[in-house]
Parts: sequence; structure tokens; C-alpha cells
Amino acid sequence: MAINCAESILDFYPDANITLFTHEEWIDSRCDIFDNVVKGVPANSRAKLWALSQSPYDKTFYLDAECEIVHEDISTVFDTLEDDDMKMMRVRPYAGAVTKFPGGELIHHCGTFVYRNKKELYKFFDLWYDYYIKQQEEWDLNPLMYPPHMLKPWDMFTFWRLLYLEGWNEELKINFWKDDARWNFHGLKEEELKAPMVVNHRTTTSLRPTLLNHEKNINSK
Amino acid sequence: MERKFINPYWEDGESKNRIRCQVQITGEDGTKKIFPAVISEGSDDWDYLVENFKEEMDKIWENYLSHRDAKRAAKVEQKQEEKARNKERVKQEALFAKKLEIFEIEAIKNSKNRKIKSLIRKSKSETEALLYASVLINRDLDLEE
Repeated sequence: MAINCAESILDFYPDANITLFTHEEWIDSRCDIFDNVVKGVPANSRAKLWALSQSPYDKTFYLDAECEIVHEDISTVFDTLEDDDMKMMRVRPYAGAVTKFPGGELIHHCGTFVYRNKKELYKFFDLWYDYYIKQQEEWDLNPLMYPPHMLKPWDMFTFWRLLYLEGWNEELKINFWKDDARWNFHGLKEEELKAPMVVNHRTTTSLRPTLLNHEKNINSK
Repeated sequence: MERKFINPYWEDGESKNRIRCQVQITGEDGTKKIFPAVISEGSDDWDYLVENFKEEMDKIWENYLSHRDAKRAAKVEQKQEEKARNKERVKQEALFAKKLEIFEIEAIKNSKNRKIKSLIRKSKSETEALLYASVLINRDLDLEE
């Protein structure tokens, strides 16, 4: 799926630089299309979080491996960052498994996002990974406000926690894309698109074992 | 002590045999307290409430019914839209899965023909994807000869 994703980027943006984070045993000759292939990724379902701060680029567009690029505007994705540290899509409750819980609401969708190389942001990413690992091992929050049976599996909750319980929303400029649906279209209503879809976020994850993730980034220097 | 009925409404606008309301009690010192109440047909305050508030209560009940029916209709429409959306999404995901399957075929996987691979990716149907896959294999075989 990562190969397909990368090739779909190159279909529309041949000059894109793409880095793949993967495991040695998954590398084959098709990986020639990547500018960098980083091995030694942790064997974890959320290794993608570990990879975020390893990006070699000034600006990075992160995509889940099951995404496909379907429009040439992919080459403008880095312009959408503007003055922010990170731009994301707003969660649509009708398209999500879990959004509201007694203590709050998940509003940032973490399937695709664009971000800049910034020390504090990379620290945040590393904490995101560390907190997620811990989240799987133990639950240290009030279970009435933050029910573990609902929230434990989701890295989107770990993201929310860091922003709103650990105060990172005051340290970083994380905002939403104006036409956010086009950058992470996953089972949304067609009328959400104000401009042509750029990223088609597939939900076909049953094809491969998902113990480990392929990661890729594209840059603009 | 003064007593006043506030916000009366039919508990059930079909049977109209119970009224729910609030009772405001004003004490001798002027303090006001509000309590919920249920007045049943035949009880002491029933005639007073029906005489003074029947029209208002009937209107409230009609509003409640329209709102309830509109909400139900909206929910049915939403479910139908969701069903149609899901049907389309399942179709698209099946097509995507088929394309990934095609890309795993050794001859396709090892091909350097990015142009035709791109056409496979952009195909709108399984038939189209398979046709392009076939063209790609034939082209590569021709090149080998």
C-alpha cells in the first residue's frame, strides 16, 4: 500500500521527495522510487508516531499508507501550512468511531497532516509516541471522564490529551485546513468538498496485517 | 401563601388524562419556590387547569408532535443517505482492493512502466484496471522479445 501511495504522489507531483519508514524485510526493488528508506522502525502499531520527528525535511506532509493522491494540487500542500506549525483535518463525528466522551471531544483527525521542522513540535511528536505506548499499558486518567474502553486504542486521544490536558495547545500553532476535507477524504459526504479531492483516504486496511506501518513524507524545500 | 401553576402540558396528548406542570409557591415572606407536579383527571386542580390552559396545552402537544415527526423523518432520510454513501464506499474500496491485488502480480509488480501503472490506479472499474494490466503485461513481453 505504501508503494501505491508513493506512486500516486508521483503520478501528480513527479518532483516530490518521499521518505519511507519501514522494516528491512519489507524492502524490495520497488522502494527505488523513495528518496530515503529508513529501516529500524519500532515494531509497534503506532510506529508512525515515532517516525514523525525523524523526517529529514523542512516541511513534511504525513500520510497514512492507505491514502491515494488523486489531484495535482498535492504540489501545493506545503503552501497550506502558512504560519502554523501543523495543519490538520477536523474530525467529522458521522465518519468517526469515537468522537465525544464525558471529558471532551476529539476534533483533530490524525490520518494526514502537514507540519514544519520545529524543535517544540518534534518534542510534542516524541511525547505523542511515548504517551501512546504508556496508554496501552496503563490508564492513569479518571475512567468516568475518560473511559478507557472507548479511548485506549486511539492515538487521536493521545494527541487530544497532550493538547488539552498537558497544555501543548498553548505551545504550538496547530490549526485546521480551510478546505480540510480535500486533504483527508475518508468516507465523508461529497458536499464536504469545497474543491477537488486531493487525498483519498482509503479504509481498506484488511488486506495486509497491520502490525507495522509504512511511513512516507513529501517535502518542499 | 400563594400558589401558581406554571408551564402545564399534557403528559400524553392522545389520552389527555394527566397534566404535568410546575407549581410556584410564594411564602408569606415573599420567597418563591417551584415544585414539579402531576395532576390527574378527577383531582382537585384538574378542572381549573383544563379550563384555563387546555388551548395552550393542545398547541404545545401539536408542536411536540410536529417536531417529533420531523426528527423521525430526518433520521430516516439520514439513514438512507448513509446507506447510499456506504454502498458507494464499499464499491470504491472493493475496486481499490482489486487494484492492489493487480499490483501484487509479479509481472505488474516488477514492471517499470509507470505510465500504465498510473492508468491502472486511475481506473474507474475493475474491467478497466484489468484491461490496462493486460496491456502492460503485453507491452513488457513485447519489449523482452
